[in-house]
Amino acid sequence: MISPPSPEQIRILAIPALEEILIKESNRDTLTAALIAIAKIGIDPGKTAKLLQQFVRHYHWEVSEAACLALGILGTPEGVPDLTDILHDNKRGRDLVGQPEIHYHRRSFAAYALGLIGARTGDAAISEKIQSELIEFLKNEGSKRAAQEDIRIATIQALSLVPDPRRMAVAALREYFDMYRKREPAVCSHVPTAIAHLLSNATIDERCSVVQSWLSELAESGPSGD
Amino acid sequence: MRECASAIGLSGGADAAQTLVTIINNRGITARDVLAAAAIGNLCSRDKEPWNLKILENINYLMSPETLYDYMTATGIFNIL
Repeated sequence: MISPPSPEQIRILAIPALEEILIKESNRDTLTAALIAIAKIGIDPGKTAKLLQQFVRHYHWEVSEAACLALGILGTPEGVPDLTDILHDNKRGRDLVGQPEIHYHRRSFAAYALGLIGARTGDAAISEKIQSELIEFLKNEGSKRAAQEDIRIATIQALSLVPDPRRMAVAALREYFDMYRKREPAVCSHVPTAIAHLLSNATIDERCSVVQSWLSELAESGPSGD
Repeated sequence: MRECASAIGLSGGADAAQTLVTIINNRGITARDVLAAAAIGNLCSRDKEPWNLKILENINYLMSPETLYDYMTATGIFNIL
């Protein structure tokens, strides 16, 4: 029978090899792979988060994006402030990545990463903070067409990952869908499955109420389903 | 090669870790180094399922933007091992 690597093997063999890549390597693809790998392993999360945060400001966008995503895969709260500022493209976020404006690709990755942290953390305060930041984006910049579709879809997907006991995300997503489904069909096409995922453990009554609204939507649509 | 890196995470054992670390320690600038680093992450991951599966579950494939899957640059969420 094949036995998996032991914790000791991981600690003395795998982690040092990956850390060496992060210290010495300049090839972006190798760096990117090592960032994601070390986050998946998730040993010493506090130390790993600090290491990953250094790469968020890396000069190469692919490495910086991978570092954002890796913070999400690691799933510890240390990454939340940086990822939030990158998502919102605010002054601190721009200073962090050293750019006058943060590219939508990196902002989208920050949104996904926040969702991954929200999914993993058992701390309700952290997941509520993440949820409120994602909802804030959706209600403000995310409600404008100028905001890239990618960031909006990433935010919707991220919201679907974060536990929603108070149904704040469900309410925000339903409102978003009702307001923008005609104007933004591509973005809004991600909303029903996001809501369904959030309600997967809800009561039958709660799910029925949402399903009824989608049935009405279908009944009112034309023959092509639009 | 890329598929091998994924498969090692699913099926590999302790012996594979040593081989992968040897590849990493003797690296040049090759795709093999990248895949070895990815494979060791998969092999030693604390999660049994791929990290992006949670996102994959809810995706509308027909309306998938480039940040999710990018055929040209391979830099989307689902391109990353």
